[in-house]
Amino acid sequence: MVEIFMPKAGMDMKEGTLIRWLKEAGEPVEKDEPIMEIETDKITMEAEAPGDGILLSKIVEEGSVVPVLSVLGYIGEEGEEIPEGPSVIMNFETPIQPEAAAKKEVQIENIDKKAVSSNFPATPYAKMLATQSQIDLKDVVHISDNGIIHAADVLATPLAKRIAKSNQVNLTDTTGTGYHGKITKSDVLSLTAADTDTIEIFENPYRTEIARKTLKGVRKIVGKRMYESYSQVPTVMQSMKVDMTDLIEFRRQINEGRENKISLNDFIIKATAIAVKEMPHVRSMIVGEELVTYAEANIGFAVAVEDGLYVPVIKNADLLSIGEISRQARELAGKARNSTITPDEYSGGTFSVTNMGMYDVYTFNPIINQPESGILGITGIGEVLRLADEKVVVRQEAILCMSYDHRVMDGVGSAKLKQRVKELLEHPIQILI
Amino acid sequence: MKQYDVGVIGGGPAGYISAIKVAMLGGSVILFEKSVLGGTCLNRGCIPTKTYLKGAEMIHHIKTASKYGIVNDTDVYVDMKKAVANKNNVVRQLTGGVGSLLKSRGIKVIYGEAQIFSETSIICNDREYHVKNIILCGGSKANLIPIPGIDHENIVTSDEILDMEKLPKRLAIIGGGVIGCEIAAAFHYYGCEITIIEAEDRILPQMDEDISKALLKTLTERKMNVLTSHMVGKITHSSKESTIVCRNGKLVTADKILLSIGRVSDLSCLGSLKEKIMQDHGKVQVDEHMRTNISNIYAPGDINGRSMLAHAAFKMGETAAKNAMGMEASYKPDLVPSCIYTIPEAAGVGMTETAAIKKMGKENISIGKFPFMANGRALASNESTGFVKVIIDNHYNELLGAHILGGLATEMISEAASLISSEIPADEIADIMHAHPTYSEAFMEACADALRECMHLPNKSQ
Repeated sequence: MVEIFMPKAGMDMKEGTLIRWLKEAGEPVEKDEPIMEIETDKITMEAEAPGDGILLSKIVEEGSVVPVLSVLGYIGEEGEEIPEGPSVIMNFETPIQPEAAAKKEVQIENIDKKAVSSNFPATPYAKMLATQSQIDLKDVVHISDNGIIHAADVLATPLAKRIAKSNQVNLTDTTGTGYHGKITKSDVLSLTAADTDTIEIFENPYRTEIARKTLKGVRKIVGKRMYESYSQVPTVMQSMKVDMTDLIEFRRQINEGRENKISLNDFIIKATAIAVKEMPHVRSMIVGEELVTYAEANIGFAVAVEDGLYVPVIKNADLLSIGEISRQARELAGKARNSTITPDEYSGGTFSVTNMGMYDVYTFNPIINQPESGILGITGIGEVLRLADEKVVVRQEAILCMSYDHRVMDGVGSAKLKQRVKELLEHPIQILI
Repeated sequence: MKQYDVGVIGGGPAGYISAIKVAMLGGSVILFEKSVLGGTCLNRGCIPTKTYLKGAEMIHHIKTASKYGIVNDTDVYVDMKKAVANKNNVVRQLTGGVGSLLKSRGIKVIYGEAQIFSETSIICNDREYHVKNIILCGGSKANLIPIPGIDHENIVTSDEILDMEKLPKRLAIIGGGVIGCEIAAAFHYYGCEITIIEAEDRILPQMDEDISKALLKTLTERKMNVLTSHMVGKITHSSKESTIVCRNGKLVTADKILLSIGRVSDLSCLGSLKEKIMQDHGKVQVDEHMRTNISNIYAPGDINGRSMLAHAAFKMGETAAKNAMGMEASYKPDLVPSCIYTIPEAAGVGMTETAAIKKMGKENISIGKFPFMANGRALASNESTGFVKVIIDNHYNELLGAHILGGLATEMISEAASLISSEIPADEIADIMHAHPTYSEAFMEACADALRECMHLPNKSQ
């Protein structure tokens, strides 16, 4: 018999939602055949069967959020007996930090010992306990992932599950008020009410509805993450002009005779990486009540796809040659556009850039890719007149538009980063050193 | 000066449970009782009536035993002295049991009329007791209506009728609610001629309408006289008998008249804070934590008039005790089963059909009904009267309410209450295997019928 796990699609992934089963219990399945659809906080994807046989049992219901590597079901021979009781899965990747033990913990008998990070991926029971004990979930230290894990992680009555499924709401978004935090009908209804009450759409004779579709997939996840970032982070916007004339000329020379042209964006990624590597405060992010600084300058760059947005990450971009950055960026953007990008390729970033240079965008206000400290946007390039040696000259100018998390850095910290990026872009030879 | 964590006034269901819970939570508690522990429920309500109704049920079985080929003397009669003695015996056992429970928890019980003296003290038998919190469980008393002729020895309340050692020939009952119907059932089998006078257009007005109608039919079949939509105007008395004069001119003569038009809160324990503690229509106002407007004073049970049922009082008492001990607890009133121990019994939990239509709209609900006539156990037991009726929501098959009339309705209702409170939808209930032959199968079948999937009923879609 083979166990079907919630896959760990990416180093960052702590839990995933089982969106739907693609097979019925009792149906034969082949190894590597898509067996279910799962959703992480970044993507929806199909997951493959780990073996050949009959889908013996689905022990986790559709819509449940479960920690990675928990057992979701079993594949085996017809008539094989399924092990009773909860399955214990050890997650061997996260050793318990001794100092963590001294911190406040939400103790929850065998049900959930899950990370309660700033995104609050906590079970309803954990949320209820936290509310009762007046503990801010953000204060709760992630104990470990190797707790006991089973389908009852999300305790909900059958009716609550049914209403949640029918209304496409996520059970983990609510706080259970029933026995031991069990989610009841009224908990789910309060959630659906809140959802539908947000925007009331009135019929209007001057406005004809021509399409209506359920938000799903990348669009839905991007929307959720954007909303969370927008509503949770005290964001400040700061801009700085940058003269791109020399960089444009520099790029022209470099690209002469090159088959795969280096884009301006590649230079921006590299320049940003150099600056980020020099400034630890930019590589810092808030995790719970702590400010954590990371070593690498892993630069994410926004790629628009048909129905959403991906932010692939170029790891250690400061150490890569401009040619290598260009190659990786092209490959990752291609993968994003045809949806073959893997979670590892769009996670692990320490800072992000977003480039609107292909349009005449004059200024914009990018939203931070949480939990990073900020995001550096660059606008379209336009001609400006400037005085140089008392003569009017034509220069090519763009604007660096940076949104930063004011909890992590102040105006000076943001200005320093842009100042350095500007310096590099205006003296492009430095980028190559 | 000793200061108790909690002082409880009243030793009925709300009071003794409050006291036990406080003690279990480690608090010191003192309880005051003016007569006998156990309150209305044990002494003058639920329990005494059930001993009488068991007697009535036995008579019913004796009278119908010939159907089973049993030849016996159907000219049975009740020796009321022995019936009262038996009732008192049962009551004594239970009230004694409450006393032992309190004793085992080290709870001090003071007998005497107690009242609030200040926000942190209670006075009883001229002595002041200091407490941090007060839980008022004064209970309720029979409601009296101010009509001419009401003050007469022929007019009794449920308090007195249960100690009556001589049966009246004709018993008129004003009020066809729970108490009225239960007393009617008992005294009918004991041999009284019964007339029920109800102001509303049906008996048991709080129950589902189908229950009221079906029970009315059986009462009438058993030669009880039921007058609905009759308002009592006055009562006249002669040396021989009493006569109820209804406002529409109808006259009912009787030897005894039971006044069972409901109960009102007994506020005598409020004492010096009578003006300060907020009330509404003669009931102490409390929030979901059972707290009055004075933060260390609680009032669970009949005194707040929310639900004058012992099982509701238990929960309210427990809630009050937890809050008094610094915990956070709320009383959730939405699922209180109602039981009426008539013959046959009636019980209900959740929404009635009328309430469900009002709340959800007729098109959004479905009714399932399974008659005991089609239930093997009921037929074999000569209990084919009645039915199980369920109301479900069409969207999620949520079980909204269950209403039962029949042999063991009051026992069966707990299954419905459990499943509603666990939020198990009707299709899942219809799937739970129920033993055959049992009365309880009818509940499963009713759920299936609501989904039009009942295999033991004729096809309705033809």
